[in-house]
Amino acid sequence: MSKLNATSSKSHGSQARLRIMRLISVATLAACIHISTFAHAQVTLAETNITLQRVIRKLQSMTGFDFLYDADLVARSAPVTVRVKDASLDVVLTHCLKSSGFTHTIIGRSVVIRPAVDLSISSDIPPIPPMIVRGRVVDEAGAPLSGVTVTVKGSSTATSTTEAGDFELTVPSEESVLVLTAVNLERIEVVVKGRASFEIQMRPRIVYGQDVVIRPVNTGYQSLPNERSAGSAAKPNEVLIRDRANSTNIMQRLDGLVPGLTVSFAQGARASSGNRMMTGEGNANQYIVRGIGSVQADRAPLFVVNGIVIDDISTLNANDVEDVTVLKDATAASIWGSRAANGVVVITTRKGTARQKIRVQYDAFYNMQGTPEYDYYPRMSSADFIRTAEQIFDPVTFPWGTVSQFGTTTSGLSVSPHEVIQYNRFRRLISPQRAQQQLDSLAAIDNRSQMGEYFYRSQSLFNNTLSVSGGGNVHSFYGSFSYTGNQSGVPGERNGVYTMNLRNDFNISPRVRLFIITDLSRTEGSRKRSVSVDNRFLPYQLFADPVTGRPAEMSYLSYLVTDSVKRVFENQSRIDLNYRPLEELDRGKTESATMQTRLTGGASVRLLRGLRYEGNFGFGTTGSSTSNYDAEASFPVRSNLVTFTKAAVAPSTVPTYLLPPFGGQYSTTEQQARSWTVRNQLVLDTSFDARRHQLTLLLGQEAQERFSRSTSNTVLGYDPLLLNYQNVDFFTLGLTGVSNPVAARNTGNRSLYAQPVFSHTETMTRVSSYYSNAGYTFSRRYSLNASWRNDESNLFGVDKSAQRKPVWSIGGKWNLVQEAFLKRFNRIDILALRLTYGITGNAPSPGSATSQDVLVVRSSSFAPGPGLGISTYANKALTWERTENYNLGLDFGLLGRRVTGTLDLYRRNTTDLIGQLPINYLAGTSSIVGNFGDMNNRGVELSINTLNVVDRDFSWNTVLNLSYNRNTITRLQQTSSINDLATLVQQTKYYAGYPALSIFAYDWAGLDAMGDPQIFLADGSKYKTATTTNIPLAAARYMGSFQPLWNGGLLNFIRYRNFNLSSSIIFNLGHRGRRDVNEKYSGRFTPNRVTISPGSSPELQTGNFHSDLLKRWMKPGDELVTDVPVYLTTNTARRNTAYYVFGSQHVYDASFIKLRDITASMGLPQAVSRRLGAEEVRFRIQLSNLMLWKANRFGIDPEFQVTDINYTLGRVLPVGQGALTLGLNVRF
Amino acid sequence: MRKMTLRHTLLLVFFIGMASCRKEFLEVVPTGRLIAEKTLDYELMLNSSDLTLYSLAGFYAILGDEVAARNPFFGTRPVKDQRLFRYENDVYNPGEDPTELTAVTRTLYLVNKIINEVMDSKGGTDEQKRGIRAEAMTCRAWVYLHFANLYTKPYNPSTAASDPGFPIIREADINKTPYVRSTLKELYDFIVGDLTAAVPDLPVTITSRHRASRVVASALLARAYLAMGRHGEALIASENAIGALRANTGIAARLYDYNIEMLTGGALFSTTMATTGPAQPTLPNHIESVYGKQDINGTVGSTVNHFIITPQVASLYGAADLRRRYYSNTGLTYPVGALRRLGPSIQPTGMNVPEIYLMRAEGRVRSNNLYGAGSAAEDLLFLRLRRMPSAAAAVPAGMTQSQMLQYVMDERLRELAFSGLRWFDMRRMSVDPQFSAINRSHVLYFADGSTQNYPLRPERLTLRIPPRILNDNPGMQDNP
Repeated sequence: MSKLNATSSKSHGSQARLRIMRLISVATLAACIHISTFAHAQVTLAETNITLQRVIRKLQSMTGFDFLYDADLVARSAPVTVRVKDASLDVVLTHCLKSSGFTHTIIGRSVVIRPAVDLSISSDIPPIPPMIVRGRVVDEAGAPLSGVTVTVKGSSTATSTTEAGDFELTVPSEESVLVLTAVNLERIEVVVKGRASFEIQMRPRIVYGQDVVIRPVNTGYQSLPNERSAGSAAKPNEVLIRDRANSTNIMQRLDGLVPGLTVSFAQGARASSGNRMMTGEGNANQYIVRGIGSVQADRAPLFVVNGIVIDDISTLNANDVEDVTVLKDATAASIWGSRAANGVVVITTRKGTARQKIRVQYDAFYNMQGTPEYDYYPRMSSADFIRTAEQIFDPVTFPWGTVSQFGTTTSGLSVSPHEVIQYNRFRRLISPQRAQQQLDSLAAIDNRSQMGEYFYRSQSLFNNTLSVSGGGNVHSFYGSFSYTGNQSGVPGERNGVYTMNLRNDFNISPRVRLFIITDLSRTEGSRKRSVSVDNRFLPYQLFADPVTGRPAEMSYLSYLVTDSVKRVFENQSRIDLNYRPLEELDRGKTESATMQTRLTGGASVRLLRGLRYEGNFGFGTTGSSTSNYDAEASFPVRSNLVTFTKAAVAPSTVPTYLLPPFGGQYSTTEQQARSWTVRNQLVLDTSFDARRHQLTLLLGQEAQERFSRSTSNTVLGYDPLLLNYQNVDFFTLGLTGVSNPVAARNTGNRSLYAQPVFSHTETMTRVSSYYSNAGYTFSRRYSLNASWRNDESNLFGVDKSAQRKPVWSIGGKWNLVQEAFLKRFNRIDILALRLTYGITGNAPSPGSATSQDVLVVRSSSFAPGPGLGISTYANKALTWERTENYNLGLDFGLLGRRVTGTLDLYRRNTTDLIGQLPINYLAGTSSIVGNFGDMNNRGVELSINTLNVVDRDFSWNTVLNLSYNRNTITRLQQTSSINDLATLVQQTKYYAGYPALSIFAYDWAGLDAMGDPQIFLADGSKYKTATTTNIPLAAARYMGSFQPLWNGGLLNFIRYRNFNLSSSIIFNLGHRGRRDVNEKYSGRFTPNRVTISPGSSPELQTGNFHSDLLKRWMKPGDELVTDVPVYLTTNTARRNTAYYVFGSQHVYDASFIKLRDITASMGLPQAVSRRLGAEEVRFRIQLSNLMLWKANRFGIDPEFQVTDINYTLGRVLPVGQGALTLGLNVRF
Repeated sequence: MRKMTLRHTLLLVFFIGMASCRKEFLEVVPTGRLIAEKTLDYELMLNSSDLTLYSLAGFYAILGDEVAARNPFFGTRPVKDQRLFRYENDVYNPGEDPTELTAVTRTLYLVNKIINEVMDSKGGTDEQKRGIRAEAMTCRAWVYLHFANLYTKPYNPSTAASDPGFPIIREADINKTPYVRSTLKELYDFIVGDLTAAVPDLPVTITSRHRASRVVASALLARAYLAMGRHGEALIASENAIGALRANTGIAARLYDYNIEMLTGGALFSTTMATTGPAQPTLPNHIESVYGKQDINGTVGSTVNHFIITPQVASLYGAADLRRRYYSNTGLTYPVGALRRLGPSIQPTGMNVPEIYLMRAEGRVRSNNLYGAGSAAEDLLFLRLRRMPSAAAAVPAGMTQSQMLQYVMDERLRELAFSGLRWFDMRRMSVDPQFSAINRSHVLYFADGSTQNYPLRPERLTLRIPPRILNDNPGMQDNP
């Protein structure tokens, strides 16, 4: 119970006043902790000659109310006698205090006891005539707030607001300051400044862990009080979002904070290769709400910032974010129409508060991610590699004459140094002893330290943001400026982002409000010509001479197969053809800059009582330019020239160069995009019959346009100093080409110039929408929500009728806690049931499906003019993807809101899934975008927030977000492609009766006596033949899905005085992945040739082989101890190694639990920070991404495992694991 | 009250404004994309690269009996190639797409669209529209000759009316399914019908090798008639083709004279003649091509060790025959006498001038016009004089009709080996009473001199329908 007695005081007057003020604020804090009281206390008391202090304590314990009084004064008062039975607290207090010269005020659940004489009026100051002020207190959505305590600052004059949010108060002077406080609202101070009437908006207080069920729901179109919204919406915790400042991307900060939102963690420069854990697919699926609702590539939710849809959420500075709402069900999302089927993330940015003094805030963090683990791949050591290469070498099947011949293509295999030694020995050019020596020396080299030295560095991210906010009566503002420096893991790369954001709000009159946001960002980056290399490359190939440091020559990796080919070409062209990756580093440069501008404005005009007009206007432009320069000395330019050079006829003459022999290649790409949105809406927000009926009606129209254009140009013979270029006869080079060049690029000893020198693309999308939304609440108990929207776009070649597919929803909420029968359960503070139903849809993406054949230029260089081909086949049968959403939700708050939470059960039935639909092979193409099936998602989401310990100095809160999702494909258009075992196992993601992204595997039966893989058929027999013809599909084993069944986060937040400690643990459970195993069991043991073209970073990522190969079958009997198949150089058709690669033994449990981050933050003592001139100075330190538990024992981090069906990559280099972030936040 | 009215008026104006601006707003014509409407649009569709690139020749070449294989190299080939070579019943795994048909079916959709729509297009004259349609019909016939040669029995007039053919697709409709096999007679009648209808509407003048002309339609008609065993009509069609060729005043379309063109500065001259074979002019410059389809043929090339030309076929070339420059025995230690085809790995198919002369020569032989002016021997000599020095070019005198027929077929081998056309010939010879039944087979050679034979059973002159197509078309009858 409360210990809030006033401490002893030696003097009265102003000091005492101060104390009371302090008391009031502390009491407010206390009140928010202690709410478990008897609201309508009846007191029975019989005491004789008892001290007033004791009476107060008794009353306190009986009622649970908080009492606020000056203990010294009360202690000095005379004893009282009291005898009451079942009297109200008010009566009892009046009775007790009257005789002692005290008076009392009951404010909410607090009682203020003070001397009957007002201490605030000092006799020294001439009295100022008092005035009466009236006002209304509302929340962010404009709904009245009752029970708010309004106190005159520096006095004990106080009142509380009525049900309608109104208050009336006498203030001593025009300069008085009103202090508004309430349990769950941010304290606010308002200067009277001679005004007699106010409308004051109060914001919810960020009490950690309570926001889910208290904050209003912002749909981007309107803000509805939570108690009136039936939709399923989640508000991630703001404090944690703010503390989790190790990334500038707001979405990455939401991981684990929103039940039902799955965030794939991909960070840093190499994020482009992405994390595909959740989906088995690309980056488009980084954020998924409530499971996979669509099989189209893009399943990302819609991002709405300040009411305007934006495409790239990563350009928003997370420090500017004020509020995030994730809309999950139909009621919440259908107002966004056809683009909202994957959920909506609504973000508002910060704004200044009216009549607030200027606040300045500085935030900085430095995030150290360490060097990428470039040796993360399981690969052989040099010694193992050479030993295996010797075992596998087959110069008969792959004769020297064939492998060493110059071909026309850059694809194919290179002849690597160890092979040259082997062939030299086979061809008796060197002795076996000499060969052995040479091979032994290769076996002794390990290139990994050079790899780290030359091509990797530590990754880090640095951000600082300075923001200013403030406000006067009419105008308030928020502005921020930030710089983010991103040091990628690749030396020579530079990347920085500058952002500026300015928001102005104008309260022009009580009727008219305006806001304008200017958001600018500039991204600059540059990179050199580094190679992308990791330990999948030849393990013995050094990059520089370890002694001299001279860069190593590797032209064998290019199309120049052997040294002798290179020498011939060099002699004929007189061009140096050495390729030394380290030397190339500074011979080319890519620079890019992107400038993004977003202007958002809005107006709100009150037209009639309860009716207002709202307008929202957004305009954005993006301009980006990228340039690539590859110097004359660079290998791609040199090698390109050689392919268009005719050899000198005699040593005295010069070769004929058909491309400019001087200068480099320069190309630029300019991209421009602009978009605008105009939205007009009328909002009726009214109530009648003393707020028994509350009605919100919204009717609006929206128009959007997006336009983008990209142009690129390439010139040859470019001199970056003189800025000139050379003309080239592309007509002849492209059509006839050069016959008999030094190095022919095309068949028939000819080179044709095929690279385009100019390209231009444009796209334009327009959408026109109408929408409506209604909310009705009766008696604060029963709410009904409904929404409707129709979108029409300029989809080219689509029937108009196909667009009339409105989406709609209906939902109800029963606020049980308001019911009389529940009022007696005083430990229940919040209890509401929600039920919604609605339709959301997904239109086929523009251009992907039309009712008429859409043609694009598809020219043949052989034809007399431009040619046209079909880009989209007419498909009149195509219809919208339609999702029925059901949501049943429960909001609860117990024990004085110490336990709050939401529970949602949902079901989403999607019909007519849009995806690549295999069609009749004879009809013209193998697959089109079509409707190919139905699926459903069922799930449960639970979010529980508990305030475990709450004390003045110490508090501990816990949040558990848990979601379960089960997805099933219920119908699949019968296609021919899934009737064969190999197709099912190796290519099928969607199969009727199973979850999307299912994993099927061969039932592994071990190796046979020849070392060939075998599988079990359905009848239990073993099978090894390469073909899977006529094998019943029952032989495949269903192993699970790539999608986690369970995911969520467990968050803890501990505060001790000025010290905060928070941790978030995220988990993904119940899904499977495929291991990365060796796939190569035939052919030569050498890397692929590398394409080294202008502007590229050559990928040295093949050559070394999976270390599993060391365990392969080598002699009869090995099948008893190993599962790894035999390596064959010929007769490979006798077996099928896919049986091994896609075998059931390689499907692993991908469940894991990670400590996403643990953050400690500490504020300087106020005295210290004050001396520094700051209001608050906080330091924070954060450690990210520590694996706590993983189900697999193969050393696989499932977050960095590409479990793609196509099985192309296996692993991606982990970054940011164990990253350390240091942060600083200063408020002035 | 007046204030209220004003406000209501403003509101009304606002909503009317909202409603009225929307129609034009969504009517945007995009750049870079279009829906065919004008005659010119259909004409440009004929220029499409979708009508240029195929990968059929390599597929047929593996089936041809001029080809043999060598191990261990053959063992590294894709399983599909190995099965084709072994004349196995099933070439594909069930889930595998018959990729050699991908480009052909795409072409079929495009030309069907042109055929059905061009006459209703805007802006062109009737003559232009008919010309465009005729080109598309020529292309459709070319596509159907492929279907016929892959998936139907060799044409036997007595059973053609009941033998299963291939689905005849006249509509460009992506959702149409399933298709039903026509009879073999219907199929060939469809091909002949398209070509016959196209010939009068096509230009005689060749303006582009990419586009069909009267030469092409007549030559394809000759090819179709030969396959049907209607040799008299084949002769007339090939004479029409050569007549059109002569009348052509457009770009050059004739035979290369190897005696000149393989010398320095010639179109076929290559500095690496010995290792990579003669140079290959690009398709627009390839004067022997009259219907330029490009075919990627992976069975030929200077680094190809797995497929070779059989010693028997290699021996057909005389020592002075310059066509032998397309072959080499470098690095070929076994089998004795076999040759490696050096190139070109991207070859012009569609229709080429040599085949037209060879078809006329065959027609003349069949009509017993063997020697003298306007005879088969004259056609053969005309070709041979451009393939080797005149001293070696002479056509042997005194051959009987059947001897000369055999000579024509050998000349076809010498000229067209590895081009895929041998498969067409093998099929029609199998039902031709002029040729005695030959037991054909493929031979796989091993380095130790041993061989393995893969006989071609008569039913495998017809490939089985790929499983993907059988599955897409339930009820479709497969070939035995």
